[in-house]
Amino acid sequence: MKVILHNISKTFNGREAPLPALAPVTLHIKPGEFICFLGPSGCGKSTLLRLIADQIEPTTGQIVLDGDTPTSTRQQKAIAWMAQNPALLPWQTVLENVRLPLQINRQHQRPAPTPHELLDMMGLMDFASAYPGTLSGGMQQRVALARTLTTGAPLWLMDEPFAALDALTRETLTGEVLHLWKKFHPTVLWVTHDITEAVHLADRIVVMTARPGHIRGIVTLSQPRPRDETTMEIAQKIREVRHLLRNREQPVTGEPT
Amino acid sequence: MSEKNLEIQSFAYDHNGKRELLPHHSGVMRDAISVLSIVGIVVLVWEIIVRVQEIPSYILPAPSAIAQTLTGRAGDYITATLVTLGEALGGLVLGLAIGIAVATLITFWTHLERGVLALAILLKATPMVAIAPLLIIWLGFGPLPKVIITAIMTFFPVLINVHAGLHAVEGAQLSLLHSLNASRWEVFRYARWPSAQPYLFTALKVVAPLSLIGAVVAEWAGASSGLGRTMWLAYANLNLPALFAAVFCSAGMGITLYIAVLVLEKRLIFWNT
Repeated sequence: MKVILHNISKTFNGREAPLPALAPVTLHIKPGEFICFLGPSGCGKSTLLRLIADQIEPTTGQIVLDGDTPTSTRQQKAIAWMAQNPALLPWQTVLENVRLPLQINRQHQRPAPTPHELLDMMGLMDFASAYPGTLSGGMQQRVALARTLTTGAPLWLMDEPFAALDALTRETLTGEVLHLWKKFHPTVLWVTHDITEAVHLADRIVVMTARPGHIRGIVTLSQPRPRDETTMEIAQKIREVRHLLRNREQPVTGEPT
Repeated sequence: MSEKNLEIQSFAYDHNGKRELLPHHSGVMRDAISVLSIVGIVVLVWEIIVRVQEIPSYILPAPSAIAQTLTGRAGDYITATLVTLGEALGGLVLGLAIGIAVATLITFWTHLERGVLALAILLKATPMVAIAPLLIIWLGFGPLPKVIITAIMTFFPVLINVHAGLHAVEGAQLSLLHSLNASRWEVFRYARWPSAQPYLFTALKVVAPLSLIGAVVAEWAGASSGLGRTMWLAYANLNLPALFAAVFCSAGMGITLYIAVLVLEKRLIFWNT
């Protein structure tokens, strides 16, 4: 899905004064591209994702998803949403949770693997009739990932999906996401504050900085995956990202006069 | 070594191959022993005080005298208990139905919330002692006024708890359902209603024993049968052993209902860890 962000910004109504969360952002994303939004907390990257997901309305600007509005796209179940909280229904089994997107808003269905195929793909077959409360955090996110795929949505919006997991589980799961991305070719917009994760995943890393959030710079990676952060080229990319992130902070942490 | 074996035996494997903790049989036994011994001590002290002080039975009857009354007129007490239990359960079901229906209503039509809650509080604050004779004048000595009074007493905690439960859905779940463009009905069916279940059981634990009090209070105001009538008759005749016997029947039913709610909760809300 082609994503066009034209001059979108978001200002929240604060208790005392308006809170600018996102300064105007313009970005074009090609169909099938893997984009990582990287930055410290408060840089507006989650706000940006929630705007595209049609959870909040932009203050200014326009979002175009394959020539359509976010609202209409969401209504067709064409946006797959996943966040740090797996948001599983604890009273439903793993299989029922994965099947949930098919049960809801039934008039919009598109070709996609069946829930059983997805459970098999994610190594969850033995847990089909288990309840989420009995699974580890990593397994729960795996279920949430399987559920994301049931609608066959061409756009995946992922807001730090693995941030709450331990490093080893996170590495395994990001590997699986790459595998699934290659298989289904969705456009992925991935929010993270982990540089290593970003260089492993992204075609382009959009570096953002805070107050109000805006794009600091974009780092393009064309290296084939899986990537190794110890190689020269990737290490160079990491340095570029760090440089972009640091630039902004220098005046703030400058020496007192 | 033997201790370790015990620990292993207290685990079992469920159908998912996941290890889960089973209630210890020794634990249940221990609870029963603890409850029985405490109750036993209280009863024993009571018996001793009545005998040593030679308290007359129209002031405070000894537990042995109460037990004698209970066993001597067992048939009467069983009948009275069943009548009261029937009225209590009828009122409880009605109160639950109204409480759940109203909570659902004000969840779908939020602009009704304030008005409906104000009305509910008004009804809740009305003393049942004043309402009960009125209902009996209107509806007679049969079970109907008892069912209505019990329903009035029980619907409020159900309404408040279920209403809170219907709004206790995790934000992340709502975001997910929003991303799927779920209708309000689908949000209710897949998230709100299940989220309200633990809250419903919290209300039930209060309301199930309360329903017996509702039925007894209503019977006290005028009835042709039931524990409330037995109590009233015994009170009027200063037959305190009979009064206490009826109180114990009511208390026994209250405990039974409470335990039934606990058992049901454990079976239905298994996912709430």
